[in-house]
Amino acid sequence: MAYFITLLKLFTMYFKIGLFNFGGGLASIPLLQNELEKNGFMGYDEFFNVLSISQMTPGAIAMNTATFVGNKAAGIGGAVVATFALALPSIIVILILAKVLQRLEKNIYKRAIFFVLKSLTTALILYAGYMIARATWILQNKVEIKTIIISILMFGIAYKKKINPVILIISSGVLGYLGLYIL
Amino acid sequence: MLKELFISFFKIGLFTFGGGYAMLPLIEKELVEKRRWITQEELMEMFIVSQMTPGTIAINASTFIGSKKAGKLGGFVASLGIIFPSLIIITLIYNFLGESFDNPVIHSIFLGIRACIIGLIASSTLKICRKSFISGMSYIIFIIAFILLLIFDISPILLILLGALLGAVTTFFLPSRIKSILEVK
Repeated sequence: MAYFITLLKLFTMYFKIGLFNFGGGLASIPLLQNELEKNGFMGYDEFFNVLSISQMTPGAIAMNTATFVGNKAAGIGGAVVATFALALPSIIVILILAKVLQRLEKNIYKRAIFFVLKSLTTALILYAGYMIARATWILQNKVEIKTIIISILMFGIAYKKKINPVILIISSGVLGYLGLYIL
Repeated sequence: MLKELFISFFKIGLFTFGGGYAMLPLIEKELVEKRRWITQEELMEMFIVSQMTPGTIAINASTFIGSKKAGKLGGFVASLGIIFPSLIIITLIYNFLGESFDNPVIHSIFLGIRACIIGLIASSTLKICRKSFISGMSYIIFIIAFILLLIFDISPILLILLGALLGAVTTFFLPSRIKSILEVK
């Protein structure tokens, strides 16, 4: 019984986070941390550890923390419940919205708003890059020239050549290991 | 179709490091260039919608593309595809490595990957500017928005709300001007 109550608690909490998490990724952290503490799943220090693991591993950050917290609270069942609860509001909202947008295809207001939002979204994408750069090019208050070199190199290849980004990501992992650990 | 959707999004999920925005170059390659399921234009539209709506960008974007390709079920399957790698990898890490993950080797590999993501994001941004900015106005809004984010630390939600308001108000007061900008394409 206690197991099911935990699952229910996980579901409710992550559904709520999924519903009120706007702007993606790092924007959701304060809400997430608050909810975890309130529900007694995880304290601040522990959350910070989980957050850094979530950033290092593939997948959306919020999703990774959901899997982690779920595992900790109720094993693999908890992980599945938490992760799906987080995804569910998105799936519902987007499915409805996709239909509405299709109907508005030619609407002048929709087109004007999307014209502005296209520029804003591009700025937000670049800003996300800047935020990652701040945590990668500068380590412990020192400029890390090796990571800057990798960034510039990969930018050049990605922009000029039609190469699969997966190959660039894997090679950069190798370069990071060689350049930052071996050397 | 459903199987292909799942595999494509599984692949994208597996190599998305550093949050939803970092998915962009991967989606570009896999869905725009390789499979030709969506156009660059639709990709941008999808990112815009994913940002405005609640939920993680990754799941929003997957549901959106999946539903466009194969209805409601497609949306669901694509989201499953993007969720699965996280679910598997994090569960493995939790059960085998626990909560401390302070390994210098993994740390150095991850730094290399992050450095790469920066380059990929910069390249994608430049490509978007060149391919889908249809007027000088697009560049002006882009630069103002970036300054607001960088210097004034404006919240992304507020920025998007202001942007939507700007679009609506200009259309209301200057419909002919807006039409002339939109008709260029």
